[in-house]
Amino acid sequence: MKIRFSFSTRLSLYIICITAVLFIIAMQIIGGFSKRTIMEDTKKNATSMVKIVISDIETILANVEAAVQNSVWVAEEHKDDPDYLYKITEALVRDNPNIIGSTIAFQPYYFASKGEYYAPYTCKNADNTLQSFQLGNSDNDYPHQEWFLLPTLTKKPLWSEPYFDEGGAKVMMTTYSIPLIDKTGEVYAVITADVSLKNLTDIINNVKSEHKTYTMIVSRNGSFVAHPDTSVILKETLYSVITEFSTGGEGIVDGVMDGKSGFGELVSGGERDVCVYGPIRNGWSVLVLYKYEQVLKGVTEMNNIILIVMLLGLILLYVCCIIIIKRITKPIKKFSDYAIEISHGNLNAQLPIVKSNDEILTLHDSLDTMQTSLKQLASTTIAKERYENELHIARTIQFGMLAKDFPDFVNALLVPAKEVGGDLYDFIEKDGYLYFAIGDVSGKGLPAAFFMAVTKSALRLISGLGLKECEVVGQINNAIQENNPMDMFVTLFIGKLNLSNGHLEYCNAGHNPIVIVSPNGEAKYLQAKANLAVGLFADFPYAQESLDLEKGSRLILYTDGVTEAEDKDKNQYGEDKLIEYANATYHTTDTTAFTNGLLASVKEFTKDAEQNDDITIMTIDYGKKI
Amino acid sequence: MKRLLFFVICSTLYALTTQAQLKRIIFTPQWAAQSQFTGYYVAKEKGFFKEYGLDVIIHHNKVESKKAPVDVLCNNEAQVVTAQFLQMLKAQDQGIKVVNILQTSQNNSLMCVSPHKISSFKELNGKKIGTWINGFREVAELACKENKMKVKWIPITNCVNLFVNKAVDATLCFSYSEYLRLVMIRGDIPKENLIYFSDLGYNIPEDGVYTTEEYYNSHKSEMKQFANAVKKGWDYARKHKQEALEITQKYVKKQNIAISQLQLRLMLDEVLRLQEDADTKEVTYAPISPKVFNTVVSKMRNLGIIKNPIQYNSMFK
Repeated sequence: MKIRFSFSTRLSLYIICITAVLFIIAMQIIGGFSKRTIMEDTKKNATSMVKIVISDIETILANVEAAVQNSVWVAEEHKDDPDYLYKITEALVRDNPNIIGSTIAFQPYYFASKGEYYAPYTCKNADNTLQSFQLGNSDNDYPHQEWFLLPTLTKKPLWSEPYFDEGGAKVMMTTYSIPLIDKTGEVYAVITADVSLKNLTDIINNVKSEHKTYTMIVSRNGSFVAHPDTSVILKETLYSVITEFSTGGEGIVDGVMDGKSGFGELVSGGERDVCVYGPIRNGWSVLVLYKYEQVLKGVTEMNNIILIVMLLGLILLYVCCIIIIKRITKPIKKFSDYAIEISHGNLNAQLPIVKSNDEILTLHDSLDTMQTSLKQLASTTIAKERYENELHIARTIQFGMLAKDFPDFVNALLVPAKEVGGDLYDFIEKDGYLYFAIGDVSGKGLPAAFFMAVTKSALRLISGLGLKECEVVGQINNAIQENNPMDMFVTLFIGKLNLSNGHLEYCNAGHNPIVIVSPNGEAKYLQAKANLAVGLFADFPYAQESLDLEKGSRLILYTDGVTEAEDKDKNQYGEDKLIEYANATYHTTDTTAFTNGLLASVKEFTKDAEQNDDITIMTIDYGKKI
Repeated sequence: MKRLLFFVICSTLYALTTQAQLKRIIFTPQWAAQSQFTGYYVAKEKGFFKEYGLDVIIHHNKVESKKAPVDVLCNNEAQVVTAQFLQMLKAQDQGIKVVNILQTSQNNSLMCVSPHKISSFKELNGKKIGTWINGFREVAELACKENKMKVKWIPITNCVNLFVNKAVDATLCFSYSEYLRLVMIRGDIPKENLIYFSDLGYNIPEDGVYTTEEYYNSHKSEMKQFANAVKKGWDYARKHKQEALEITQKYVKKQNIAISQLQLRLMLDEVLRLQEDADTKEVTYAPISPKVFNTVVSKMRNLGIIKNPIQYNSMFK
C-alpha cells in the first residue's frame, strides 16, 4: 500500500533530508580535520615526550659517565695500592646521587695477595650510608659477568643490560663500565658505576601528558626496561610483545633495534596504536605509545554530542517546518476546499480572504477571475442548452411537417445545413393527380425554418381551394407578403401531374429549373418562365405552364443546396454534374436510390467541407420501370 | 561432633600414611625453569609421579650457579638430574658412575650463531666464541678438535648480550633456548649466520635423565617408575600444549625467570621436535644406540677429550 504524505510532511522531509546530508558532510569534514589535527598534535606531543625522557635519562647517564671517567686516572694512579681503591669507589658513590654502587674489578689473580677475585666495591644503603666490601667470590664470578666481560672484550666503555645485582646492591640496575688498559693494551681492570633502574623509570613515571600515553624503555637486546605493565620488564621483548599481541609493528622493532628515531603504527587487541621512539646514548630506546581511539576519544565524544544535538535539532526543525508550512499553506488548503466546492458546481462558493501581498494573493485573484468566467460560462451554457433544446424541438416539428409516406414513384429528402432548415418539399396524391411542391426560403436556420413552416402551411391551405398552380402561388405570395416584416422570400416550384396521361401543370416562382429525364435517359433542365420568388411583391402575376411527359420520364426537383454545394476550395457541385449524375443513374435507380445516390454524390464532392446550405431533393418517376 | 573428629583424624592419618608410602626423590633440571623441562612439571602437576608411587620434588639451581648436573648428583643434592649425554660421558670418564634412566632428546640442538655471515664452521678457527660458564659445549669442542680448530671460548652468564654487542665472532646457542632469545630481539636471524652441529655430522642426542649408579642399583624400580612418569608427562604436554605451557609458567614465575611467553611456547615446540626420531618422526624415548655410543666414545678418546674406555652397559642398563 502506497503511503500518501501531505504536502507539508513531504516538504518538511525534503528539508530535513537535505539539512541532514549537509550536516553529515560538514561533520565529516570538520571531524576529519579535527582528527588529523589532534593526531598531529599528539604525535608532536609524543615526540616531545620522547625527547624530554631521553634528555632527562641522558643527563643522568652523562653525569655518571663523567664521574666514572674522572675517576679513571685516580684508579690508574693507585692500581698498585689495592686497599686505596676503596676510597675511589666510596668517593664515586658518595659524591654522585645517581650512583648506587661502584667497583674497580680486576682480572683474576691480578693481585697475588688478594687471591682469584679482587673487586673493591662500595654501595649505598637504604639510609644513604655507604658500605664497602670485596665483591668477587666463587658465587659472584664477576669475570664472567657482562659488566666486566664486555668492556674487557671490546676495550670500550659501555652500559650493561639491566640486571638484578645479587652480589652487591640487590636491586635492578645497569652498570657503566670503563676498561682500565695497561701499557701492553690489555685490560687489567674495569671501573664501574651502578645506576638503579628506579632512577630511570621514575623519569618516565613523572612525564605528564594531556593524552593517555604509555612510555617504555627498551634495552639493546630488546627487553623492556620500563613498561606500564611491570610484569613484562626484562621478560618480554619488544619483538615478542608485538609478535604475540599486535600486528604491523615490525618497522617499529627494526627502527628501535637499529637505534633510530621514528614512529610507526600497530594494532593491538583490535585497537590502533601509534608509537614514537628515539634512542638513548647507552643504546636503549624510549618509546611513547598512545592509543588512537583514546586520543580521539574527545573528538568521538564531541561527534556523538553533535550527532545527538543534530538529531534533536532535526526533530525540532521538522516540527517547525510542519507548523510553518501548514501555516503558509493554510490559504492553499482553503483554496483547495474552495476549488472542490466549485468543482461540485457551487459557482457561488466563497473565496478565502487573503491578507498577504504575495503569490497567494495572485492565486486568489486568479481564482476570482476564474470564478467570474465560470459563472459567465455557466449562464451562457444554460442559454445555449435551452436554445439547442428548442432548436431540437423545432427540428422535430419541421421534420414532422414533411411528407414521409412515399409511393414508389416519389421520394424526397431534406438535409438542413443547421439544426433546422429553410427548405421545404411536399406532395399529395389525390384523384389520379400528384400535387407536389419544393421551396427554398432565403437565409438559414430558425428564421428560415419558421418562414418555411408558414409557407408550407399556406401551401397546404391554399392548394386545397382547387386553384390553378399559378393562382396558388399568387395567393401564397399575397398572404406572406402582408406579414413579412423581415422581407424574407421563398422560391417555389409547384406542380400537378396527371398520373394517367403524364400532363404536367406547374408554376415556377423563382426556383431552380427542375430536371426532366426522358425515357431514353437523357436529362435536361426544364426551361420554365422566370417568375419572382414568393413574398417579395403582392399581386405579382405568376405564369401557369404545362407540358406532357413521356411515360418513363423522371422529374428531379432540388434546391440550390445541391448545385451550389462547395468543397473546401469553394468549387461548386454545379448544374452540369447534376445532369451527368441524372444521365448516369437513370436506368439503374428508382426514386429512393436516386435521391439517396444524389445526396451521396454531393457529399462525396464536398468531402469534409462544412455544408453551407440546406439540401432538398425530390424525385418523381412517371410510369418508369426499372 | 565426636564422629566428625574421628573422621578428621582418620583422614589425616590416611593422608600421612599414603604420603609416607610414596618414595621421595629430589630432581634437579640442568637449567633454570623453562619449557625444556615442561614434561617434568606436567608429570608433577598432573600427579603422574604420584601415580607411579613417587613423591618428586623439583629443585632448580640458581641461574647464576656454575654447578654442573653431575656436581648436583655427587653432592647428593638430588637423586635424579637431567644432563646432556656428553656431559655425563665426561663424568663417567672421571670415574663418576652415572646411569641413564631415560633418553628424552633424540637430536642435537647445538648451534653457532654469528652476527655476520659464515660460510663454514672452519671459518671460526681462531675466533672468539661465546659459551656457557658451566659447560654444555662438549659437542662444539669435539667438532673443533676433529676439524683441528682452535677457538677462544668466552664463558659468560648471558651470551645473548655478547652477541648483541658484537663482542664475539659467534656464540654457542641451543636451538630451543639462546637462539630463540636472539630471535626475540628482532625476529628470525638469516640462515647464513647459523651453523647447526647436527648438520656437521654431530647429531648426538642431548638431554637425558641420570642418576648415580649407586642410587640406581638400590632404587631400580623407582627409577623405572620415574622414567615412566616423565614419559607420560611429555606425552601429555605434546597433546595439551597450552595447559603444559601454563604449568611451565608457574615454575618460571616461581623462579622469577626473565623469559617471554612467546619464547616459552617456541621453546616447547622445539624441545618436542628434538624428541622425535630424525628419520621416522616418532617419539620413542629410545636410549642412545650402542653404535652411536661407541662411535662417540671412540672419537672422544682419540681426540683426548676422555681418557678411559667407557662401556655402553655402564650408562645404559
